[in-house]
Amino acid sequence: MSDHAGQRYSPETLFLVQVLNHLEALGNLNYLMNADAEDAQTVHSYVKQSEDILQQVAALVRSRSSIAV
Amino acid sequence: MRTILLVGEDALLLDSRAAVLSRTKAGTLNASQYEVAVYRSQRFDLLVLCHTLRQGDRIAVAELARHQWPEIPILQVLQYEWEQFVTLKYADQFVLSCDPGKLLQRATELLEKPLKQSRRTISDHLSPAADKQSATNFLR
Repeated sequence: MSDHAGQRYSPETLFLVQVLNHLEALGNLNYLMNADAEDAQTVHSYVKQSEDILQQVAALVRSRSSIAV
Repeated sequence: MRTILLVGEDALLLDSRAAVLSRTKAGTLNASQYEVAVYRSQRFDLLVLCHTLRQGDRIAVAELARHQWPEIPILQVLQYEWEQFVTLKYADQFVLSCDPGKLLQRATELLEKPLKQSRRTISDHLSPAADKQSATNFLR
C-alpha cells in the first residue's frame, strides 16, 4: 500500500492506516446500529461484527507493541 | 435492481460501506482497483471510489469508468476536504469518509437522478460557477 504521492507506506504508517480503516468500519457499523436500533436481531449481528473488528484492531496493536493488549 | 460498484483497497472497510449503501435498496459489488476490469461488461448505476485508493489509482479507475460507463455517476469518498480539488473532474459528488449518513444521502441522490442528468460535465467543472465555493458545496 502506498500514499497519495505513490510513496510506499512505512510499516508504522501502514499500521496506523489499517487501524484507522478498522475504526472507520466500526463507525459505519455504529451508524447502522443506530439506524436499526429497534431491530434487536440486526443490532446483535452488528455488535458481533464490531466485536470481530475490535479483535482485529487488538491483534494489530498487539503485533506492533510489546505491551499486552 | 440497481447496482453499486464500490472500489477500494481495504476489504473490511469496503464491506462496512457496502452495508451502509445497501440501505439504498441497490445491490452492491466490492472490488479492488485490480478487479474493476473484471466487471467491464457488467452494468452499474453508481461507482463509489473509496479513499483507500491512492490518488493516482483513483483517477485511473475513474478514467476507466468514464470510458467504460460514461453515463454512470461517480461518488468519491475522501479523507480530507482538500482532495476534492485534485480529483474534481473525476467525480459527480464527494463525501467525507467519516460520514456514513452523508454517504448514504449522496448515493441515494445520485441513484434517483436520471443517468444523464446526474453527470456533471467537465465543462461544468471548469466554468466560473465551479469555483472553490461551489466545489466546497459538494460536501455540504
